[in-house]
Amino acid sequence: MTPKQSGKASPAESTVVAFLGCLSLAVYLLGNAAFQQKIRLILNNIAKVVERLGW
Amino acid sequence: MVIVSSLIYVSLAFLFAARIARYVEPPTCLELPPDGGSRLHLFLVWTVVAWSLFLVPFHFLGFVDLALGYRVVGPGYACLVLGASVIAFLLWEQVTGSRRKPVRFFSPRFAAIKPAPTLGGILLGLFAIGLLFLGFVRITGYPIRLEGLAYHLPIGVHTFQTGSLGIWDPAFMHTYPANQSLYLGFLLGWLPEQLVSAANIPFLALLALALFGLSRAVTQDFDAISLATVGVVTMPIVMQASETIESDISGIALLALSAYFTLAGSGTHRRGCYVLAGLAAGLAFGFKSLHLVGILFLAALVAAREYFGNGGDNEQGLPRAARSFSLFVAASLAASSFWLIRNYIELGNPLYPVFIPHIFPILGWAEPPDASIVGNLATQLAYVDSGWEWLIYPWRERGSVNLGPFFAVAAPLSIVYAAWRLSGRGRANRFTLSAMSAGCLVITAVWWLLGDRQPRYAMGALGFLAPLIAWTLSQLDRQARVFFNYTVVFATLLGFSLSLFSSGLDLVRRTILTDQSARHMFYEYPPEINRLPAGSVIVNLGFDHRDGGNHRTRAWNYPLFGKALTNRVVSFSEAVRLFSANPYETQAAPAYRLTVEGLRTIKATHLFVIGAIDIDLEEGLSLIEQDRLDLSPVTKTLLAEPRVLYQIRYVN
Repeated sequence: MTPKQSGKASPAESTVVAFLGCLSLAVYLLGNAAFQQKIRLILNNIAKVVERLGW
Repeated sequence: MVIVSSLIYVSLAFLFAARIARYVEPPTCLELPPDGGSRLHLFLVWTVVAWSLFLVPFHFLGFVDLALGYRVVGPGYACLVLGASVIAFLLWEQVTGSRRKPVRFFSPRFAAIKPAPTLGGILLGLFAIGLLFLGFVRITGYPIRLEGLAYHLPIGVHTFQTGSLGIWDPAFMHTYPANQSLYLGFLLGWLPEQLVSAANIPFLALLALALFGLSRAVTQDFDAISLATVGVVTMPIVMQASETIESDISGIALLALSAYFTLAGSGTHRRGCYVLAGLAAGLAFGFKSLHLVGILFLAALVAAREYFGNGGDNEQGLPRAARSFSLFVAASLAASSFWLIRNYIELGNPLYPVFIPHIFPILGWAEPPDASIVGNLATQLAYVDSGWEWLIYPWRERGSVNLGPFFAVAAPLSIVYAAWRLSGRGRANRFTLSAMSAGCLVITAVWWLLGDRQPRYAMGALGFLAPLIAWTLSQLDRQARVFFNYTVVFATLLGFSLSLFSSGLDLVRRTILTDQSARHMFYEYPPEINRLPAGSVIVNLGFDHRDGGNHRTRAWNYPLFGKALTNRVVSFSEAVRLFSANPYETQAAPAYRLTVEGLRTIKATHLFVIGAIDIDLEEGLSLIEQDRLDLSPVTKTLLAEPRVLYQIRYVN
């Protein structure tokens, strides 16, 4: 079960992976309708709760 | 009495598990890092043994019921079975003198989980706090979600009411293996319903521990493991599963444990681990039979590991592979055979309602009249417009957030990166990484081929995904790693907070904005249902039009058991089969023909109806309205369709 140490990724490889990860997140945040809808729903609900409690 | 026997049973199972687990894997021989990875391993060993000891005695009692007709499934008889096993085991220890030294299975800290304030440590801490919050939210309400209310809970209550694990209702969705129902029904016997509604939260913790252990097979990077583990277990689809009392989370937690033990054993101690892997796999099947795909993959993996991991000596490799494979399969069957045999005896097909055309007919195995597991392509339309869109689904979810931002950031990238590295340089961890990649691929491919493409049906792949992500993170160069770490943490916290906010708002809605503290207000049914004499039999004829189908209707099965869970319930699908002209049509409001004989056969005393319903009463029957709910206790507005409880009068 003990893992062997392997050769790590080169700086160039690592940069590409990190960049693609960041790009993925950006695409997700901008293009995901369900996520945006969920955020709106939560914010609306928070507003309702605040209004209902008279804050 | 039930409370006492249940407490004794749980204590016996937990303590006996610690005793037996000493034999499974002596910790001094583990090839795990001495920093305490072995503590986590020991805890996981104990967990599998404890779950086996908890469930298998009930399976044994189920066999007694099947073979002899004695309805003995209950905590009292289970105590006797387990107690007898304990005594036999202690006698065996005395006679053979093989008693092992005690081992600490519970440790205040798994040394592998260092308290140091690293990024991974902080994330693990936040996850633990979130878990407690989630548990708190759940225990302030009652069990939720369709499958739990439609059949997991009703079957659990029915099992302990009747002392039988026989089929409650032959509608296909009620015939699956029912470990989840056993677990929930057992808990409902001695715990408040609100506590039981949090029954899946421990499985989320267990899944996290299993993934943590599994990821150690490919890297020792604590931060990478923690980030991958927390990222996976806080995915919205996983969090939602743990909030409900459905069997998704329990199934994948046990499948992940099985994967862990498939890869955990080393040297001469592999065999013990393969037994544990098999037991966990058998239990996973009993929770969710869909995991048969993952289990078959793990069985093949056991054989492959023995065959190829034998220093190239394939003459030795083949018998070793066969032995290990047999051990895995035998242990799996020990933990799952009851469900296979029950379904074969009662329904003519051990895997019912699964039916594979061209193969099962040769074996003479029955085809369910009301279900097909292949080709339900329409279900994917809730998520995508056409099949190819699944390729971009992680970034373009619609309807509901299932996979979440962490998956989009880390999962596809890690799979591609691992495949690229495996195809090129890097021999280290090649077998394990290939196995993880193949696990993801096989489960996703079968999910695709079967056609019922709901994301949760592919959740078994998550166990194989976490190690790939951990490994990818661990491979990155320093600066890129820091950058990617924060991207992953941000995505994880985004998805996690989304789930926690939803739960928190649900809590506020239920407790502050409306009063749903009482059970009949939470489920919105006429309160008289709580006050019926014990043993009253309610026929669920309610057809809930709100979703234009049978989903909400079936979810009425559980609430009708009443607050004390002493009513008996004839499920909606059973009622349709008994009293409707079209016995398998549950998607449209049925027309019922109620007969004296039919109602007397099931000893029906009450009917539950929603709105206007087409009922033709045979002469000799009359219905008296006993209670009704016209006003929603939640919104204080008129319900579109009132919920009505009728008492059945047999005139003659």
